[in-house]
Amino acid sequence: MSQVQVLSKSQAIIRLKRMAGFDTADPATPAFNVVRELLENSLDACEDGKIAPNIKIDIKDLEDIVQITCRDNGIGMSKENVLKAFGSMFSSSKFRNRQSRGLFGIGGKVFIVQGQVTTDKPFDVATATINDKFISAYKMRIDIEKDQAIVENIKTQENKKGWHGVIIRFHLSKEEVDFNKAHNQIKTYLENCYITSPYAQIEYNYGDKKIKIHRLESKVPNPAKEVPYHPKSIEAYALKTLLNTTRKKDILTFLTSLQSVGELTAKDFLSKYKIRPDTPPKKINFGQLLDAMKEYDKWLAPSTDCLSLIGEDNFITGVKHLYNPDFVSYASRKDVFIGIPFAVEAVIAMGGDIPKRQIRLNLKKEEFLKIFRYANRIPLIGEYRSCLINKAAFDIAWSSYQIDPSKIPTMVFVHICTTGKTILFKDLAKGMIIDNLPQIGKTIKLCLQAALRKARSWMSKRKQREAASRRKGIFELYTPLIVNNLASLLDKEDTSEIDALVRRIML
Amino acid sequence: MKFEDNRTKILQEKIGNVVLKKLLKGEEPTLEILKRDMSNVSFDKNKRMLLPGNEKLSRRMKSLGGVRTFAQTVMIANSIREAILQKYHPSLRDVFYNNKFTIPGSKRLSLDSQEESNSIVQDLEVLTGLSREELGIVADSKGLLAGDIQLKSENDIIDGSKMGSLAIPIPSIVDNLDLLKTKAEFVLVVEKGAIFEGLNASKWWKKHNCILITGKGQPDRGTRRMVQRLHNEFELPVYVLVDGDSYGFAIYGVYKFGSVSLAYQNEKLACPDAKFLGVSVSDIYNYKIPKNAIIKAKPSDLKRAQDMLKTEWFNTPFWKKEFELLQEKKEKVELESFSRFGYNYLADKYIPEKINNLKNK
Repeated sequence: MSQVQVLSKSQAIIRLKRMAGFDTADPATPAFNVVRELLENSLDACEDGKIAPNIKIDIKDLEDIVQITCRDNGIGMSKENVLKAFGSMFSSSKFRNRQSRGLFGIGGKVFIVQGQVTTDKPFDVATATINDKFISAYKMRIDIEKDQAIVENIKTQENKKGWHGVIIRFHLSKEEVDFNKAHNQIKTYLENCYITSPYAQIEYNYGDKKIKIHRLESKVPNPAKEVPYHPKSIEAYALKTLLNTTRKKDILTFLTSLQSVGELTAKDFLSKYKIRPDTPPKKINFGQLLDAMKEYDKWLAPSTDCLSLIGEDNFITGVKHLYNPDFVSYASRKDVFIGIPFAVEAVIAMGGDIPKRQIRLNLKKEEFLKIFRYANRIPLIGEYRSCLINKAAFDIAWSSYQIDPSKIPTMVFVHICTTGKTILFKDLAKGMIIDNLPQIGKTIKLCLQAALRKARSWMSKRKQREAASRRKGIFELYTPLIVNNLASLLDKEDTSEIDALVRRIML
Repeated sequence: MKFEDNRTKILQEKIGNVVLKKLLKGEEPTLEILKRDMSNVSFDKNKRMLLPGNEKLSRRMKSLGGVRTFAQTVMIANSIREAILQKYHPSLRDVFYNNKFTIPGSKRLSLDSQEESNSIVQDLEVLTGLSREELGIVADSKGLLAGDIQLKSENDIIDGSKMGSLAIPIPSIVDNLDLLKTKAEFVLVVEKGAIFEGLNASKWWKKHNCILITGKGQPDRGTRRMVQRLHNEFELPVYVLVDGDSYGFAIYGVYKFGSVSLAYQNEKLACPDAKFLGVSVSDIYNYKIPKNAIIKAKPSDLKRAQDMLKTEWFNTPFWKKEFELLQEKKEKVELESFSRFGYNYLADKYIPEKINNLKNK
């Protein structure tokens, strides 16, 4: 398992409660969030090993507490990592430069700690790594003061069936979470997994409320590659950590360890900003270096290879499974802004089983669109009209693609993936993508338009077909009227001759 | 009825066989229908009436815009033929209800309104060359006639001089009557029913030896046909008395020149020799009608007068002068305003004086 880095305590603590949703008055929010965080962690753990995920989340009402159990078949954890990952509240295996679902990887743990505080119960972790001979079961607590794990006991048993993965069980106070109220949100989120991870099988059980997501695809995509930070986009705390922990002896070799930086570029950069190439990284003026790195405009663009797209086949399979549309088209675009690689995928789906949106007064045609938003393979739930994706969709002249969403039910799916997660979100609620970078909005729009161009030709063919069948319907409607009256007018009791003659012309 | 034998054959021939012939050739059938709007109507200077041109509309069976009316035309032709065969005399409303139903397999009605079927009946009139009356369709009749005249309806003789205080109703199908004989010397057409009633109550027709007729406003076909027949068959001069406003002048125009929408029937309905008796605009001032018996003309009256002056048939020195006076004074009067001079003024003074004027011209 890759290195686990440590965030500053104060930095993380501020984010924690907000992220979990415990600061809102609505107990549905933390209930939804705990399911989402557990699921995302498990999906990442499976994909890291290219394993088709089997994930099961069980919620059980005990008297005044709720028991939460999540099991996956991911790569599992070594003892060392269990202690690190579940011991320190603020450690994360995801605080690295690569695309991942979790923003900071600390989401799940907030709930464990919150549960420990409110129920005074330890939590359980059982795990085995791939090819592990034993399954280890830990009963643990977190010492919040010391930020350390306290292992109450460890039991091991023989791993006869060669299982791997993680099982976590912890408790939350019933007063703080309401899974009944959160059910619709959870259901929507899980169903969207058909699109974001059609290779996953997911079960969710809460009493008689059961949701099962079947596996549509057997192929699991390659895990997102971890890449070195790019000098243009590295954030202050990451740079500081790197400078303090690097084994490189001088700043020149340190720079070449960053992404897309060759020796020539590094030398040019250092001479431009009058930094001695042999300065030890630990002694560098951190602020000056950071500013210079942001300002310097000759860095080569970072690679977009590290991004993990849903991909045309998976995306379309998921959309078809959920809505069985008459038409679906896909387009994707990759781009780099301020040193951060982005990829956008867009799918347009129309007709079929897509439900018609309810007509409300004063609704513009574009507002009939049903927009689904995804970022780094996670569905963004809830409607945010000011989200960058919605804005881009509303900014398009749909009529020029012959599409009137108020007439034909139309769905738009947009997935943005990037290593620069913090650029996208205003807060950790992962609700909407903010308008930090107008270029992203433009990229989304261009990508949507590419998908729409395919939709336009389908639409115009469909309209021709519809006109032809309307025409045929009208002629069919009046044919009997003409036949019967004409036959009667001509004193013909048998209408068959006239009928054949009229139909020959009409139909 | 005079046309009984032929009518069903004409309907079969002009609609049924026309369509069938095309169908047998494997071609799309069309019905060529005389255009009935202003664009295809002009003033015939010889006949001095409004007559239709030759422009026709093709009603196609296989066109989105045409198929519905095509089907309706065949349907109503068949329905009218059946009525004739069964010796019914349906009204226009009967024809509408007889053919109104929901088309099987849809929510669409075969006829949405009576206007639709009325218009199809007019199409059939021009397609067959038979009038609505000849097709046996009756309409509400509202015209009245009074005077010393003998008519024959079926086997009964009706003597207009022996009606007491009643008037003879003019039926919608005037051609079924025979006009036997009359002692009258002229026909007076009165726009308004109430004025007619007043004149008839005092046996005005007897005193002045005339036939009185009213169409009660805009005249129906029967009234107009009756006026034309009285003029043609007894060579009686026809005088028309209407309100002194654009609406009254237009009614006079309909009696005399015919109407645009029924241009194809005008040869049977118009009476180009009819003369305008009054009330003219200049009469308002010649007879010195008091100010408070005069009505201010509305903008719509003035607009209508302007439009009428632009037509060829009203473009005469007399009407030019009249309409110019109307535009200048912007005033109009009703026939009843003469009552300011006494109840008998219109009957005993104005009408006889105006008739004399016309006779002496």
